[in-house]
Amino acid sequence: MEANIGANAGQPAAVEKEHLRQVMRDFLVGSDATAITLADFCALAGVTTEQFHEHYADIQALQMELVAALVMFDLDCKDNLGKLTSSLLQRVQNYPTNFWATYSKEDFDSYERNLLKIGYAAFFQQSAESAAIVRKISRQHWYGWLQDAIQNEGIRPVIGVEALADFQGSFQNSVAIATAFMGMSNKEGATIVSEMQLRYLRRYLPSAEVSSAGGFA
Amino acid sequence: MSATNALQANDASSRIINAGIDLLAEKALDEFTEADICLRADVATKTFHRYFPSKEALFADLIRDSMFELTGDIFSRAEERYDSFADRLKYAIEQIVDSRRDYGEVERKYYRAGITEIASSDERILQLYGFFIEYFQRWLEQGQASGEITKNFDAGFMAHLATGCLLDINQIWMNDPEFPHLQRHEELAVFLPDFFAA
Repeated sequence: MEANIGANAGQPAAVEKEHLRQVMRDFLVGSDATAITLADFCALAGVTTEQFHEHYADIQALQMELVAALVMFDLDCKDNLGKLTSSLLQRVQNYPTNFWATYSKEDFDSYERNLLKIGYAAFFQQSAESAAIVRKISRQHWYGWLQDAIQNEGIRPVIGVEALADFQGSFQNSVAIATAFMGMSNKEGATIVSEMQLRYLRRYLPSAEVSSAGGFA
Repeated sequence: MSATNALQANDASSRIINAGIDLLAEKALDEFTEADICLRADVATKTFHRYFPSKEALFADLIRDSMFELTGDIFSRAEERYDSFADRLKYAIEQIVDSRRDYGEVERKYYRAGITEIASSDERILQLYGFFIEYFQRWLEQGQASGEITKNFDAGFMAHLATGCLLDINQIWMNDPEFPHLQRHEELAVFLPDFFAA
């Protein structure tokens, strides 16, 4: 991409968005800090601020695009799981395996940890509208899955479905926070939460058993 | 510092806090400045900065006071009065709900302002989480020893999940005034002992 820079004297050449994304990825890999000034980033990317602004309003917008990609990956994973399986226990049991199999990484590296840090800080600082979207996406699958289970599998939780979905969403956030700030293995955290959820749900669905190998026995 | 000076200092600090709360009741956080607070409190900017580095820090202090001091007192009383995780949590949440029954738009706004400031530093986020995790972990470990809580999982990990649920309720509410935060607190007091039960 650097070859594009200064191709036409006096006029900034077009810079592809992917170049900026790649430079930010490289910056976040192995970096202790997630903050970088626009000037420093542009110097790192070999672009002018004008070229940067052709694609992004500020550094946060670029970083949030990368965070969104990670969130979308998770949502796609849950969408697929919802299509592939119909029972709540199967969905809960298969979620971590499905996520990591599709993600194809043993665990989150520093890049993903930094994305979680950025995403979590932004969660606090965003507008009420975007916070509502974040809440919706972190809980919508759980809400749908619980509704399916109540309708089709006879699960009768002791608290309301909305509350239960909120708390399961909170569990996922908690693992993300522990991964980002406390160095926990994201894969291990997600797997333990899944085990806890299965144990809890089995009490409310005693007729269904999940074999240790996965799927219903 | 003489007694008179100390009184004046406290007075100035209180006036700044009250002016900040008043302004937040009238406007959004980004619609007023430190200078507006100083004008309302009748203090110089220098005096403001003696107590608070920024207006955001002012609200972060208020949140820390209500979270760490008020909630700390509640959690400490729960621990003294009850032995089980379920009873301690139930008591603590009843007290939290009682203390927030009259919370309105101003409290929601300054909570949001304070949390935004806390979230601007990794260290403060860890401090916030650490405060709650410490209590929950102790209660859960004692619950494991008495047979109330499952031993299948690490108490520290369960404490982290409990903290996440509790703080999430506040975070959702700070962005959504319609969110039934008091009811959700009460549901959490039912859900967590059941979720972690032996």
